[in-house]
Amino acid sequence: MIFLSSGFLLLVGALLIIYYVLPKRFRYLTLLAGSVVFYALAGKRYLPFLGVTIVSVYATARLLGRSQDRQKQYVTEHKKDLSKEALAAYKKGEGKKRTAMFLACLLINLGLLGALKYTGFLLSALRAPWEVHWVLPLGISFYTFQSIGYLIDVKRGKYPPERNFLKYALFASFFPQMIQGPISRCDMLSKTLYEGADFDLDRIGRGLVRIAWGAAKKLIVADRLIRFALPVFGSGYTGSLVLLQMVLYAMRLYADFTGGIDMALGVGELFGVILPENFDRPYLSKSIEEYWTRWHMTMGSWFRDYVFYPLNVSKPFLKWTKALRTRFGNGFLSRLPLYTATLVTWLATGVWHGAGWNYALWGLTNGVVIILSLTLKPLYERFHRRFPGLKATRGYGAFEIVRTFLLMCLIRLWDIYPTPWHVWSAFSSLFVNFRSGVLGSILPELSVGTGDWIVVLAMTALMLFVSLKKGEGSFRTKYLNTSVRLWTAAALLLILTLLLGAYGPGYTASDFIYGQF
Amino acid sequence: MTFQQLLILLRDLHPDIDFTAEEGLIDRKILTSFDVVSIVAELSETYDVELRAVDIVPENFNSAWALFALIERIENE
Repeated sequence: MIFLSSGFLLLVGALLIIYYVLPKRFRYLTLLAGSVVFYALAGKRYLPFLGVTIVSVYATARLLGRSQDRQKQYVTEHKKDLSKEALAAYKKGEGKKRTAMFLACLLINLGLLGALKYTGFLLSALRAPWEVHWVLPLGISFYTFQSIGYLIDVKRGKYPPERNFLKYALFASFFPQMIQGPISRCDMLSKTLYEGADFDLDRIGRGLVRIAWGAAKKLIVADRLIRFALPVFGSGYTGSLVLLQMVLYAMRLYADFTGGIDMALGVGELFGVILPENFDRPYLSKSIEEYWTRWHMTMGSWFRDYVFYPLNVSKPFLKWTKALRTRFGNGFLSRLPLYTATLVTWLATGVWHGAGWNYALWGLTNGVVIILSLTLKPLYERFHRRFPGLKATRGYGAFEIVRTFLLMCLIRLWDIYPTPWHVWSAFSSLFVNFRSGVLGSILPELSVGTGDWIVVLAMTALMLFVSLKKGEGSFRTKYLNTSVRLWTAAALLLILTLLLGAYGPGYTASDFIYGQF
Repeated sequence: MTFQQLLILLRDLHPDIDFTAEEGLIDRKILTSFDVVSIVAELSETYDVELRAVDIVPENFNSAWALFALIERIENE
């Protein structure tokens, strides 16, 4: 597991020294060199694929930028001597050229991603007589989408393309985000990525606290829970065990993914680089819609900004909406375009996660549940008009949180069980074969001791405590606001992880779950 | 389109929000992505104001005033 390997720690240590020794204007080059070494350590054979993405996106963005500049200059020079129609025709022509360049680059990058990630699955789905096992470069889904987001922003004229190739290469390959994101936006990340940070011991302390907190989540909870969360097979599913499985998987996924992101953000902070936050207390969400604005936020906002919104504001969709509203008024049918865009976005999100029917069905299930909750909104509103004040009570708030948590656990059955049939059996067992008594006899037989349970529950309680205390801000800013507190917290977390983490003989630190996407 | 007409459109979505004062409609998660899409569709259908995907950023939707400024900009283009 690359973040917790001795090689990674040595690399970060060496980079820190070189970074702060070099003059400020060269510091970003240290990060680029570190990113190349990191990626080569993960697998030298991955480098050419990353190289293709970097070169193709950089070159296309530059060409798009030049075309935009040329257009601006032409329009300024000919504003007086050309008619409005002639200028519009010129702009249209230039726009078409830019679209062609953009699509060609998109084809190269999505083609590469699609070929490497999905060919094996497609051949097997089509029952082809041959198999392929192609290399899947580390983080390809993350860096490809980050690069495409950059290209779309440049094409839209949101910001000009980066002229310095080495700086762009660093944006596309910055090593902490290569394993499982977050998916950054160039205009935000470049503010801190290129400038070269001043040496600040307290900021390094904050980074170390974040890394130690992430490592604690990963090693104390996630890796320990692997032994708890084995699929339950046999003559049929038992509802109570499926429920336990669902909840334990939710805890493991949270500790694993947020732990990894904490480490990535912490490593960035050591170098003064601010990576975007990816989580905002997702398990305290009161609806699935809210949940998806708090979980894997950078992926959610990517699909929202580059798929969902463009689809909805496209001329065909607006025309379709208008036609349906004219014919059917403001009811369910007039929302068909919105629902279609929702399903397309969620199908794409599911497929982005991996090659398999389960991923596609997971995405579609999310879409369907969101559509259902939208459709039922008038009913909720009627209910709350009848019981005014109920929504503001703590009890109802807690009910909404538990309901959303369980709903997300149910949707993740697609993650836990291997086939639709297994998912259906597990799901139906919750209602027709719950048998809570089985828990008492099964739990002692699991290869998990009382100590493991206590450690996991205590750490989960600590994670919940931190989530509740931090509110909408940062726990470190609020409570670790002196050097003494900061370094004490870093030391305590390190000791806690060393004492209670699942590593050493009998354990192997597992890969991050999201690393496979 | 007038500011009053925009307020009516927004109040249809969230009657409980004071849109003349609120300045964190997106940042404070008051407007969801579905609300944003509904606003875009309504603006296009009723007022012939066509927003592009690039216009849909938090700065343009965080307050009724920012959204109104965007609409005026598009109408004047």
